[in-house]
Amino acid sequence: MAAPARSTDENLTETDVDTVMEQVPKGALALAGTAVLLLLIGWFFVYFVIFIPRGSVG
Amino acid sequence: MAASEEDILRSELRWSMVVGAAVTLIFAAILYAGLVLHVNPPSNIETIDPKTLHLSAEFTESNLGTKVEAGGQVTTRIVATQFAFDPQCVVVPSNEPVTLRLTSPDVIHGILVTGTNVNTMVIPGYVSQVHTVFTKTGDLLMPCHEFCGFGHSQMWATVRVVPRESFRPDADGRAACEKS
Repeated sequence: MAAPARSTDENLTETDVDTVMEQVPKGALALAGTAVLLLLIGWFFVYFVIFIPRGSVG
Repeated sequence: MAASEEDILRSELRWSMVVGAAVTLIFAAILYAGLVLHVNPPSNIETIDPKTLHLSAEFTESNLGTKVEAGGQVTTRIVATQFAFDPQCVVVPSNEPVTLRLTSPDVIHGILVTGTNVNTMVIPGYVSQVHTVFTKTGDLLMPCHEFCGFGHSQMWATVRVVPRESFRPDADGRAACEKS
C-alpha cells in the first residue's frame, strides 16, 4: 500500500507562492517586533527598577 | 501581487533601523550608568603576599573591620578564608562613601552584598577593592559566591548599615558591630 503523500508542494501554483511571499514579511516583522519590544521592556525594567536603585559601585 | 525586491529591501532597512535604535539606546543607558552615576565594575590591581597576611601592616587581625581614616574616608578591611569572613560582621555608615578592601590567604572566594551592586572576586595574592555608598540601613547579607570548598555554603558575613548619627567610631576611628 502506498504511503499517503506528505507534501503538496507539487500542487502549489506560482500564484500561491506569490501570495505567501507577499504576506511573510508582515508576519515576520510583527513577531520579531514583539520579541524585541518584550526584550527591551525586560532589559529596561531590570536597569531602572533593580540595577540603578542598588547604587554606585566602582 | 508578490512583494518586490524593493519592498523587501525597504522592510529590511526599516528593521535594521529599529534594531540599531534599540542597541544605541542600551549602549546609551550603559554609558550613562558608568559615566554619570558612577556604576562601574570594581577595578584594582594591587598585590599582597598571601602567606604573610597576618604579619602585613594592613590585614593584621587588629586592623580588620571598619576604620575611619585620617581624611574621614571610611574603609572596611575583611579577610576571606575557608570558611569564614574575618570579621563576621562589619558596621558602616549609610549615605557616605565606603571602601571595602578584601583579600584571601588560601583559595579564591567572592563576595556580594545583597540589595547592592557590590560584587567582586577575592583572589589570593591580590587586594580586592570596592567603593560604594550604602543608601539603605539594616543588616545586609554578604555571602561567599565562589565555591571555595565543602564549607562554602556556611561562609557568610553581615554588613550592618547604620544611620550616620548612629555610626560612632572609637578614639582610634574604629567601629565594630555590637555583640548581641
